Amino acid sequence: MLFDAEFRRSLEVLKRLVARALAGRGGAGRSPLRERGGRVEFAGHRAYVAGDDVGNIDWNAYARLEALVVKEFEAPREAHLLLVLDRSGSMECFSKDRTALRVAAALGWLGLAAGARVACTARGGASRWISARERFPELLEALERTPQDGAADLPQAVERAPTIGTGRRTAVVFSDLYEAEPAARALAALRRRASTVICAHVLAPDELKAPAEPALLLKDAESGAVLQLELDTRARAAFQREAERFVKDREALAAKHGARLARIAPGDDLVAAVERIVT
Amino acid sequence: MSFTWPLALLGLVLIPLLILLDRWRRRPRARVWPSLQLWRAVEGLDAPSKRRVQPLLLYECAAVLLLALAAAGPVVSGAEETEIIVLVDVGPHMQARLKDGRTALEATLAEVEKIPGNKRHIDVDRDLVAAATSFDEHVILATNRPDVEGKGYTVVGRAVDGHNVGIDVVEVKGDRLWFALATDGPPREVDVQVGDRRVTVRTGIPVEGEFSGGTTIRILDLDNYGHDNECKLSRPRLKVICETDSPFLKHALRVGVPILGLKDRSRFEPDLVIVTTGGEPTGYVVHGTDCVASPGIFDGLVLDGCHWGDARSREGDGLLSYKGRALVAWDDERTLWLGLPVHFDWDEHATLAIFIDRVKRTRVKLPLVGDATCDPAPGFVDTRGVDRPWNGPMPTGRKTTTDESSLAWILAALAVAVLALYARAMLRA
Repeated sequence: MLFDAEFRRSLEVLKRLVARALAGRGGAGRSPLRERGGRVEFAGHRAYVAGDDVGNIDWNAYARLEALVVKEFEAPREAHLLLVLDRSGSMECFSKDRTALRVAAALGWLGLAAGARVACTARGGASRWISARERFPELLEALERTPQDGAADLPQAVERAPTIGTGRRTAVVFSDLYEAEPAARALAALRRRASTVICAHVLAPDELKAPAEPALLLKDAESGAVLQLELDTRARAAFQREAERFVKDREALAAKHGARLARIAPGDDLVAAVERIVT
Repeated sequence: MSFTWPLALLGLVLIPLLILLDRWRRRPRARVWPSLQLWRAVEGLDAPSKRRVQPLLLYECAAVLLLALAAAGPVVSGAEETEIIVLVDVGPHMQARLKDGRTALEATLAEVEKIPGNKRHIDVDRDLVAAATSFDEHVILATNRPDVEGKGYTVVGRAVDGHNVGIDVVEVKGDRLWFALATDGPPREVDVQVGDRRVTVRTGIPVEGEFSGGTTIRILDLDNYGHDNECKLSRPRLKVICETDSPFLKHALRVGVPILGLKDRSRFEPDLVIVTTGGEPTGYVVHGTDCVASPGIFDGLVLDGCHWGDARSREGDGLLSYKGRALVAWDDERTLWLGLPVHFDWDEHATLAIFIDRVKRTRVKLPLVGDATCDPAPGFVDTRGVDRPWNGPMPTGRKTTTDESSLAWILAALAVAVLALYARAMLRA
């Protein structure tokens, strides 16, 4: 079960941690999710016309000016949290997909608790904006419903995302980022739409390490391509170097597009993974 | 190089099994991987490894090879030599025909010939033996007149002084057979006629020389005559141990006298007659001496756990017949005793030849020459098949020599070293 009792216990821990953090910052947390929705901003006065809501009449101004004026307000500004999920075949290896979904759900829960509107999107489809903590089950359902697809196409996932309104907008991308160019395009697109872009780089330690078997018949999880290898010490070292280079490249890629990269891995503690993303 | 336990070499079949196992272990394992892009950098590097000999496999094969060799007990030529002493009864009863038509003696000698490295043995003239059993009269050419003079034999000549250390047939004249007892020099003919119907001849064979330092010669006295027990140190470092089965003769053992051999001048003492009293090999009374053999003298001559088989006695007629089965026993780490069927009685004393040679250290298997249909001496009671404690299985104990043992240890140590390398390689991998 993806969102099991342990997951819910982790949410409780997260709730306490966030409350403590916010208290420590005098209630004005710097978390990108900390933007309460529904708040109205005073915009100015105008003369009362028939049909105006009498509740908006500024009686203090009437006492001073002896004329009916009404207060005008700007439209409500809400925080938005967009969860962009890579549900490609590569994410199915080493349980990365499950990890990404659980961390995304935890982030969504935090967002809803903070009054933000939360939506999730993937290449195969996206949810609508969900607000209010009570509707968290809807978010879970939406996350689970995001279709798994063979290929990673983050740009399309971004494109499918619902329109983000005004206010603080945060996007979190969950991907192993194997395809650099599409990842770059997706991050660029998100940067244009969101004020904060976080890249949750989901990588299993085992996929950065050559297996112990001396001979391998590797099959690409997405393309199905096959590669037969015999591994010796030299080949293993070469793979290790390549893996390290890959991780650094993706860090650079994220930085280039103004995104912060946080590494998460299957088996990570959920609370710790969420903390790495939001702080 | 020979092997003590060649069956251990069967362990070498593990090597092809290891190769197969290695191939099986190296078969490609299919795995789904998130992306092959990281592997592309490795792709070019793995090709040479396919052609490379796998060091781990080499280590494994080398370890198996060494262990199998060590377990097989390799014996390197030159390091394993030891002497084999073969005692062969060439007495009349050894002329008994076996099932295959050969005499027991022929069969015995044929087996002796099979001993590897048997380059030098002092044979007994088979004609002599044949003649001794077929002629009624014998002429003994004594080298030492007192040996035969006045001992019930007609001495027709006088031998030169010396030791009777060899024997040969000189001539057959009518119903007379002329023997020569060889001395230290060539046989000499002496006009001595033995009037008795039977003659007992014993030979003592010099075995001096040809031994390297450190070799041990162990001489076993097979009868009750203390005068036989003379040993010689042919070289300063030669260690000679004389033993006797007769407790009352131990005092007579002497080491260091010029001649090593079994001399039996006292054989012809007319008053030295053994009369058995019990009818069973539990006690013998030796008349004419003040010695009484203790029970068990001939009850299987025990040497380091091996025995000489049956010993039988018969009351009244002075017959003590000894029929042993072949035995193989390592007396110590360098001396192998081979015993072949021996007939031993007082009326027709066995002629003993001693074969001493240096052979390669191999496991000599001498089949039993038993089952001979002997014509027993008069009065001989064949008790073969009677359940006696000494009729047990042949001891087959084997001792390793120092050389062999050390070689095995060296090989084992090498194997351990290879295994250590293997472990290190595994850790690296």
